[in-house]
Amino acid sequence: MSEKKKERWTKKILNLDNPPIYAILLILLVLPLFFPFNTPVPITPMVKALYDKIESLKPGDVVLLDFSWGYGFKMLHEAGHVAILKHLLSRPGVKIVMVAFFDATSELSWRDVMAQVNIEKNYPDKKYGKDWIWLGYIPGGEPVVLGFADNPWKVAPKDKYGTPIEQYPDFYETVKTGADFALVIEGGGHGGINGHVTGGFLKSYGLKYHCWLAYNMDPSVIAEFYPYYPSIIKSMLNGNAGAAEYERLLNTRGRGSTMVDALSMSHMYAVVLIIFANIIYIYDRYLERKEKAKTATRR
Amino acid sequence: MSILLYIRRNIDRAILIFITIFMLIAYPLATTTDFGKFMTDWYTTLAGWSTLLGAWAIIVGVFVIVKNNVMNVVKKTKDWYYDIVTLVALVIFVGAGFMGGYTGPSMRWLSTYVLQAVSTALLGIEAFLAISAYYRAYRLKNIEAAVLMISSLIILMWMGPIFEYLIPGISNVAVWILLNPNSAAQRAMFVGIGLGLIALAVRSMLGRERYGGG
Amino acid sequence: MVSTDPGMWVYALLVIAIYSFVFKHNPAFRVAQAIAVGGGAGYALWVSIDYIQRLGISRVQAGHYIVLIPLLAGLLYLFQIYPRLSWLSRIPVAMALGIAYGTTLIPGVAAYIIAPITQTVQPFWTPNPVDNFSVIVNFILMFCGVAFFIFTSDKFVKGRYGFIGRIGRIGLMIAFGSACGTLLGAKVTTAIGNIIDLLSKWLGIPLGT
Repeated sequence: MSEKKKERWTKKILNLDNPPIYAILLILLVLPLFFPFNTPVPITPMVKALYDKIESLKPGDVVLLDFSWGYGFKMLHEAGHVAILKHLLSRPGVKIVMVAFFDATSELSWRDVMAQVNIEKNYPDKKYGKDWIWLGYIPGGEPVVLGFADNPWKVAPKDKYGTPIEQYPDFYETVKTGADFALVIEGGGHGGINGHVTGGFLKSYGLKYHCWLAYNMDPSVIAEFYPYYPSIIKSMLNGNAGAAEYERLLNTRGRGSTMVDALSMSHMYAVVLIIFANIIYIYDRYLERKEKAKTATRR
Repeated sequence: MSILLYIRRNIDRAILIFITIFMLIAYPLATTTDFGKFMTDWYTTLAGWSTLLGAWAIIVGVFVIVKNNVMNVVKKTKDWYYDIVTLVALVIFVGAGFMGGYTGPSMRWLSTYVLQAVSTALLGIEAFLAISAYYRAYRLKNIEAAVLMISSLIILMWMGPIFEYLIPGISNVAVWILLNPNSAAQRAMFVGIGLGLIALAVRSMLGRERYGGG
Repeated sequence: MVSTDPGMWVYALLVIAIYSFVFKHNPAFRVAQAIAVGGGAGYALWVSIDYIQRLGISRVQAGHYIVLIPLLAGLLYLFQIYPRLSWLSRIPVAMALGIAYGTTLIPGVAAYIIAPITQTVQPFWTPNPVDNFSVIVNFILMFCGVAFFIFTSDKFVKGRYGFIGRIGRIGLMIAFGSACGTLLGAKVTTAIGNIIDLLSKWLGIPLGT
């Protein structure tokens, strides 16, 4: 009868249960909130490009600002859009068309950004209908995104409050197609390059109308957009890290900056974990080969 | 086959073929001629119809959720009591919309404290699942696994802002990987996607793809 | 100071119920998940009804009778519940698909086939050696990647041209590795956001940030 083999200590480490791994991650996420070490955030050319573009906007330029993220993704995009919107509102004469294409809860995402920006209190000279309009969530997927770029006021003839767009001549007369937007900022990136909103923005504003296109991106899909950067997509904010960079450019501190330390710690943990696991794995394979050689010589 | 049966089986495909070909012809037409203007006008009109069809699809989707959950409760399938929770939550949210509209205070409270909690937390738990996946999945078994792991490690270091100060230049390496080998492979996938898109459209028009009920 | 707002307590309990899943699958998680489905559906229903009223019915009332076509077509979706008339529900699906194909085929070919090819075929004899190397790497990996997807016969997979597929596979591993590497940032951001809300807004603990 063969003896029950004792599991090697290397195998035990490789098959470690989840709770200790999760507990360490939780500690590393919480600690920086109490003891921040203020990770310096380098400003990347990708984010600086958007900042410079907004700085160069002239009075009368119309910007399309899209809020296409579901409510669950608010932590990823809210900080970036708050910073971008504040910057846009600080530019004199710049007009903003706000819209959402992703799903119904995108309207909640818009609501929360607007609550933080508080245009009525912080930018009292910016009037609804003259400086900005909100078209609400427009369902329908990619055909609607493409159709909106071809003829915005045919696809969205009224704003969220039911007012026909003809009553906002600053927008109705200025914008006839996507080409008339001086800057297009898509918020979301969900679904990657095939996403009905992100793909639609790329195909219409990027490829067809050659707009200055920027994305406030979901970091998990940013790699898919690099083939089109910088030829078609001019700027991408990499989730909260991008928001932190933008806040540094604006000399403010918002939620983006708050999360940077925990973001750094969690990534360092992931890197250390992967390297540690592979060192143990290589040693485990060495021990296995040694055991097999010993068994072979015994026979 | 009777004419009625033939119409019943093919009317949807006829509509699909007509609209697709109409819009493909209208797409590149310039608006300098009357015909071009006519076609472009109808093109944007049809694109706008997607919004209403999409809104109806959401409403029907909700009816399907209600129907499936009610059937599960009636038939007492596995874990049917959670379906009661789903239905109760749906009724509460719909009821809140009746009280002051769907942008009113009741819905605002529910969306801020209930919907936000569950939506964000369902994504947040993936952080823990991801870290476990990193620990267990990345092994130096062969060349492909090694390439997968090393590219992942470099990108992980790029995503953590502190690494630029610990390992200067790592972000340049990461950006080069993203702009070159990553982009090349993504482009290869895009070509496949583009060809698949054409194949799907042709198959749908030839009646080889099933969609909808009936 | 711990929050006395009942809404904050509901928020905290739901978040904790969902996070409890990472340690063990439990009924609290299932209840929170069910609430997510029901609540999301309820909210989406209201947004869609508002949209149909605002941009459908009110436009018909204003005299744009052409809007009746998609409005009535959308009603046909409901016939999927009745088996004998469920064929009617294919009509709005066909309309939506036709519009989708009509609007996305040409831009799709431009974005997914033409743009990648034009971006790949670049001059590799510029003064900058790094750029030249990058262009060559791009070309080889893209060509081998496309070959890997399209040519699936044994001659290419195992035969003397198998190295093309192998190189394509390695390129794809780099892309998947890059995608996996970016995954953590997105998820951790949301988790940190939840933790900040629980600590500062629910438990009232002052944070150092």
